[in-house]
Formats: sequence, C-alpha cells, structure tokens
Amino acid sequence: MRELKVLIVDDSAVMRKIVERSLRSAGLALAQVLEAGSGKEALEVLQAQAVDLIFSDINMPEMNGLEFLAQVSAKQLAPGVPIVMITTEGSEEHVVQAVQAGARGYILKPFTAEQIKDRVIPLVEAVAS
Amino acid sequence: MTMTLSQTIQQQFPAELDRAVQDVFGTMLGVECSPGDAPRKTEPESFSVLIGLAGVISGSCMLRADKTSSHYIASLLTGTEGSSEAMVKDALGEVCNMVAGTWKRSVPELSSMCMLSPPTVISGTDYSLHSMPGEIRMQRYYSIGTTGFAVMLHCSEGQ
Repeated sequence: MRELKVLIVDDSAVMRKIVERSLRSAGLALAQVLEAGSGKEALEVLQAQAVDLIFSDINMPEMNGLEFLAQVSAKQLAPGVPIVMITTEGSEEHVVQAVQAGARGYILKPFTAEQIKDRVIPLVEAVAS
Repeated sequence: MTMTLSQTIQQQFPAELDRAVQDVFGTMLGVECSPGDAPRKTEPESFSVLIGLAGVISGSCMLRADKTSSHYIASLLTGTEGSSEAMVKDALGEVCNMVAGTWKRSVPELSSMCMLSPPTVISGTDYSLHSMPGEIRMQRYYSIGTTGFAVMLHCSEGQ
C-alpha cells in the first residue's frame, strides 16, 4: 500500500493526535499528516494542496463537519478522495446527512484502531485499484 | 403506563451512564473505571467541563475532576506524561464529549433530537457552577485507580 497524505479535521488537538496514532496502529503508511481545527481551516488546506484521505469530526465551532463536507463537494476540492467522519453523533439522521454530503465512512467515538482499520483500509484499497 | 422522557432518562441514567463511561475509558484510555462514592478529600484546584444539550431536552452534561485526576485522565488519553494545562483541558473536553455522546446514543428519543455543544472547560481553585433549576439533576462518581471524577446531568424537557 502506498504512503498516504492525510488531513485530520477536529477542533481538539488531542483528538487529532489520537486519530493519527490510530491510523499508524492500524497499519496505514502515512507520508504526511495535515491538521485543521475547523472546517474553515480545512478548506484552506484543501485549496492549497491535494490529499489522499480526509477524516473529519462533526461538532466543531466556526464550520461543522457537515458544512465542511458540503463545501468540499460544492467547490470540488477533493474529487474522489474518501472522507470519513469520526464523531460522537451517531443518529441515523447524522449518518444519512453525512453520506448525502459525500462521506464515504462513519466512525463513532470512542473507537479502536481495529475499527479504523476495518473501515478505512477498504476505502484506500478501492481508491488505489 | 407510558413514561415521560424525563422519567425515562432518570430511570435509565445511572446504568446507561455507567456503560458510556466504561466504554469511553476502556476503549480510549485503556483503563477500567467503576462507579464509586464521592471522594472524602478533594483538592482545591479542579477542572469542570460543560457540554450543552439542546433539543428535546436542554441543559448540560458536566464532568468534574480535581487537578491530579484531570492530569491522570489526560495522560491516559494522550499517552504522554506531564501534559500542559491546555492539553489537560482539551483531553477532558474530549472525554466529556465522548461520554455525553455515548450516553445520548443510548436513549433513542435523544439520539437525533438533542444536539451537543462543543465543550467548555473551567479550571481554578475558587469557582462554583450554578445551573438553572431543572426536572433532571443527577450525579454519578467514578473511580480510576486512586483518582476519580463526577459526571452530572442537569436538564429539563423542551427547549
């Protein structure tokens, strides 16, 4: 599997580091990890550079994860790039909204590295093939 | 007889909160966490995290821990010793967010009908928290090793 450039969007710096640690524990080879503390910051990152995989929280100040997804889609900032939501919001309504807005995966907090592996590796392999 | 949402929450809160706390601490911090009694001695300095609840219920979910417990929880979550105060606040905010979110998911009436706010963290030695009177005022204490913390739910039905 090739090395990936990943963007992690979460208003908690601690959670961004935990997601990165979990990705490494899951066996993903990371070439670079970019971080953003809000949807707005993440849009700026994507306007400047391309990434292979995006993880985003939903409940964030300034611009939440669903608004971020909608903007990424409307502005065609990451065509074909898998976006995975990592959030405490687990209602069917949130999942449907996220999928309709372009999310390809949905992981609930708290999560294990094994859950990340199970959900993310198939997405990465699908993009690579 | 059909129970109101308040009655459902009050009846289920202790067991569902215990499950939520144990899930978060077991999965993300790698420790067992058990319900316990209020600590006999408390340190003057503490951290309090507030997560706002809005929707079919309104109010707050709070987590309060003394300084030693707060630093311990942060070190378990981050995997690093000697966390800065900013990192402790961030870590406690995330723990409270996950506990509130996991508990909320256990009550079907709340799952999509109640929003959680981003966490607000207060710390220091001389402060008190006051929340408006509500139908639901519940508190549980938990211990992890020699440290511990409290989780409180103060809310009312409706917005």
